[in-house]
Amino acid sequence: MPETSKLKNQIRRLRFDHDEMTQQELADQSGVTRQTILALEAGKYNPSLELAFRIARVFGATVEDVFKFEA
Amino acid sequence: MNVLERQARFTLMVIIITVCLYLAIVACIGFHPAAMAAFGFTGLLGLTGLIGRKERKAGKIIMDERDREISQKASIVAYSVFWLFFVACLMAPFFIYGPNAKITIGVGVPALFVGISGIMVYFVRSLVIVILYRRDVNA
Repeated sequence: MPETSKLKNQIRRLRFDHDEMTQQELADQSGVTRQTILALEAGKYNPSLELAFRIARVFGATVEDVFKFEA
Repeated sequence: MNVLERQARFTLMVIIITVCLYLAIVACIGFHPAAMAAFGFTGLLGLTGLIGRKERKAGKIIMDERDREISQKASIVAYSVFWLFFVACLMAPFFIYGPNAKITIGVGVPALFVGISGIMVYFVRSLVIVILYRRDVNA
């Protein structure tokens, strides 16, 4: 039986690395609400594939750079 | 707070006030048909469409994928509860009166059932929405 998996992300760190981007700015560029970014950073929500790609594109990074899958 | 959560809180507030109004009227005049007038207060639920109008005008995102997911989960729970209520209401006479009994029900009873079910679905859906949003915030 597979163990419970967890998807971790580097969104908060990447935001600060990109001129201290605010959650609202990231939300606007990703096409979601600020509350969704908040939930993502808190690990309370797993994004869809499309959203993961959009967020990665905002940071100019790959999806693997932003999100880490820990089995 | 998201538009969906604000709408859910408003719906909860209206329904709770409606039930309190009904109970207050029943406390005054008993279970008189006139007490049903309290449910006219649920007409305010039509105003939920006004919530989020400012954000819509400003071109902000009203509902994203997470909001849609929460809305879907809440709808599933609400309609599951409705189904349980529906089955319970229809099967209760069977268990109370037995399989061969014949009873007469007033014309108003099915209408009352529809009204109560509608309010129950709105209430449960809104409650689940608020709980799901608060669970993410408080974690």
